[in-house]
Amino acid sequence: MSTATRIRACLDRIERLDPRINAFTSVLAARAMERAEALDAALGADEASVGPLAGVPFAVKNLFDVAGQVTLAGSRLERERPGARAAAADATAVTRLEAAGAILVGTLNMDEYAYGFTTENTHYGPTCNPHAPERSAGGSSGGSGAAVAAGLVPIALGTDTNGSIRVPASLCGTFGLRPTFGRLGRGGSFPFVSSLDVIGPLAGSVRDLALAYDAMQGPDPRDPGCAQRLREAATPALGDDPAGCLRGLRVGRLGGWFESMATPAAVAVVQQACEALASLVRIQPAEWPDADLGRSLAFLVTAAEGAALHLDDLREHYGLMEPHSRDRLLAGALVPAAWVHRAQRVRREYVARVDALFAAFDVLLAPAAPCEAPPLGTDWIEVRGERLPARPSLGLLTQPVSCAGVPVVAVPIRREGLPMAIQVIAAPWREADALRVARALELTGVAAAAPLPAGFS
Amino acid sequence: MDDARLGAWLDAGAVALRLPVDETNRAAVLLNLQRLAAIAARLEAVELEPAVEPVVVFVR
Repeated sequence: MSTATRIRACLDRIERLDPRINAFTSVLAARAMERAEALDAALGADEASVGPLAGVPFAVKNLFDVAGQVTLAGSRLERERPGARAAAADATAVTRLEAAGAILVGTLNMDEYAYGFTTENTHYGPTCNPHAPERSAGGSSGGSGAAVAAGLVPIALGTDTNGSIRVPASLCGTFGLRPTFGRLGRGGSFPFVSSLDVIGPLAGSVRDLALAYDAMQGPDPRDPGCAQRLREAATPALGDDPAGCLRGLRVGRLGGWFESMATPAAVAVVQQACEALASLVRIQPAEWPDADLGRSLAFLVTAAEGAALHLDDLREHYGLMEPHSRDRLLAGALVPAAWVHRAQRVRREYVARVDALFAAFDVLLAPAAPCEAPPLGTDWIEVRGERLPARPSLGLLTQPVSCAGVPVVAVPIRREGLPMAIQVIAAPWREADALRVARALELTGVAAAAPLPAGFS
Repeated sequence: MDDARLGAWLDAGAVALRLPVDETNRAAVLLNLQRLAAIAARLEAVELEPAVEPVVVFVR
């Protein structure tokens, strides 16, 4: 089958099925078909030149620049503000995926300015969970999670400040990778909290996740937060023998906060994963240092940095901003500098304690989201008898991890009912270790993208 | 910080920073500010040596 035929089929599928879930905010049919035809021509001329993702369709959260498109970042304002302009060039990540042969087919819905965990976007409508359309797809990369879960694209890009890749991966039942802070270039992506933001892929398999990750690695002169590190390919480490994938790794299972702030169902998927690995590797109990403190400081830094970024718009265009988050931003604007400074000082010692934990472990397992996908419009979730505000609390288990800057793979675990994922957390710059464990879980059969829901097969 | 002082901080800060806080959204903003103040109190309770600098996020 030619690339053009495959991409045409992908575009047809999006046109037919996306109205059920509202994952896409734009479909780039002309661009995709042009690139597909060019790829077919290249294949005919020199097959070796097309790259490891040749002809694979992908889509991006609509905060990534796409040349000729206005970068919405989930907002109405970026489209309607005086002088609004289309992006002049693609984001670094888009350029790199296309250099590997992948083909961009569209942009995806998200919480406005990435401040949310539910993708209940007032301007563009909520994204529905393909497995239960009355429920949330998670956020803020909810369009990315839903598009992969519905089989509309095999790979999507998201961003993760406090859990915005891992939460939708869990609620939609896909794989997702939050790389080490500074690993992947953020050039041409709309920022939220510069000291926490990373970009990363969501995918239907560990191999696709790793291929996309490898394709995006390397220094990015457009991003001052991107490390000057050479590419360290993870895909070659992913074999077909689960024992081989796990060889030499010291694996821990996180208790404490990661059990007390999770529903029994969320703890049960970690137990399933541990049982699947038990005959292959020793799993030791582990305790993440001061998880509640990490969550707290991430929460405060996010509110303050996010508000500072949008201060002028809060003053001038409050009425055009997302009702679900604009009052949180106003509160963030009132946070004194001394509180933020203290949070970043506490964070230094926190990161040191987390790094020390990895002297004893290579990989740690924990739930990704505290509960299954909540119904759209839910204001409260209940965890262990405690009533918590739904929109900020879906990140209870992801925030303590990401504010330490370490890499994490969200791994969906096979189960009855709605999807749920675990976090496979590795030491800084050791994404390959987390991907190896994800691959081992996939090979044992305990982990897999949730089956396509009825009506999407 | 008690709720009355936090409310006064909100009102004064909104004026100083020219933020659009009025009777339609004040309660929601105050609720969020209360959450942030509770977090700040938790962070202020952490003992830190004077030499502890803010985390360096762009180099590792």
